[in-house]
Amino acid sequence: MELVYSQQQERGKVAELPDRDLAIRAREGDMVSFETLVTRKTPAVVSLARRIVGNAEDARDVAQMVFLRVWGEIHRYDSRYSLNTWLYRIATNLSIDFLRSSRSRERAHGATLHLVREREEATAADATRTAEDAELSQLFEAVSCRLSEKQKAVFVLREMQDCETREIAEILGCGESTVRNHLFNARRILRKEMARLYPEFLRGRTRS
Amino acid sequence: MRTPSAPDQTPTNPVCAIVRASFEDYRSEALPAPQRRMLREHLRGCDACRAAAAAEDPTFRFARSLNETVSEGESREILSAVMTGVDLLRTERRIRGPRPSRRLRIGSAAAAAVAAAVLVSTGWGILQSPAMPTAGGVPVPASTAMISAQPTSSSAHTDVTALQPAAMSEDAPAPSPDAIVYDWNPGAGREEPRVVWIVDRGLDI
Repeated sequence: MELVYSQQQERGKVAELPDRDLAIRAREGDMVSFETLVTRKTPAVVSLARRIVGNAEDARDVAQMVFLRVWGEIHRYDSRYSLNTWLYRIATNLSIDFLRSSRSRERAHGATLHLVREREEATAADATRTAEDAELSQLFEAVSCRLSEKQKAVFVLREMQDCETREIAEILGCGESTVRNHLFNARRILRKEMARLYPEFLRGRTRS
Repeated sequence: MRTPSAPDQTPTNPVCAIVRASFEDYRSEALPAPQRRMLREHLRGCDACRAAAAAEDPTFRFARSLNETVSEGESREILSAVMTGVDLLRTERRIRGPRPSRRLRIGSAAAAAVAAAVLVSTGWGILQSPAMPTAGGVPVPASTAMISAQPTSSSAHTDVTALQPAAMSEDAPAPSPDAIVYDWNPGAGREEPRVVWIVDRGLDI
């Protein structure tokens, strides 16, 4: 009984630690810190993976792979740098790899079908998400099919995760100008797709 | 899907006016980080500006953090799967034993390279040591010494078998008397490779 109580106390203390400290403790083999880190970062990783791979089920699989990779590579984490950048780099790369696999590509192209299916099978998770977020999420899935993996990753990181261009360049291992280029092209393609699939959204536009 | 409401053309709020004037800079990535953050914050709370932004560029709709709600059950499921994977990886590592350190791996690779180098040089040593090609007891001049291959004849001729690696000399038939051995670099030391070229006209078709 006392042991359970002290474990709970330990977990409570660990839960208050900042990300960096958790990562350092996990690197030293503290599994409670690692578990706390996984629990804390799951929504962010699932969210990022979901935007890139296109559906919730795959995003959860990717999230599992991400955290396993984190555990395997935690000794390489340099605590001078932001944990989020390192984590996003792993999550983005694994999501891109996943998207590149033919199975996932098929799913991404069938986003419209998926959209209908998802509406029919509204899960408890969908119900808790705000209606507007759900709507935007579905809209993005539908119009982002024509983006390349890198364009999609850059757009998601910049617009939805609000990462700095420098940070995205670090995450993807490319130059800032490449990031801006991907972003520019992604916006152009998305505008085109929205005009094609949802012309009502362009009503009242003043310039192209 | 909800269609956008008509954007307010004349914002009464000065903040709205500033935000709307910054749309172009936002799109062209020319907005500094604090202003960018402020614009995003403002769009989140201002329906009219959100509609104006979407009318300007429909991709503005995505300019916000979409909170992916992961239920507690899902989160627990992911954690459980991850911890199972971690346990498996740990077991695998325990069975395999600890991975040697990087320094040890580099050391092993260097040792293997040195061993290979020694073996190669020993091979060349065998090739060179028993009898250096000589002509009448005098070492053949370097580079293109041409030796007639007559193993059993006079000392003026070189024992050709001595020019061949030991492993080959047992099984390989002795070259015919017509064979000509070109020995390039016959006086090569351990550091230099020896190149021997045998032309046996007896094998001509």
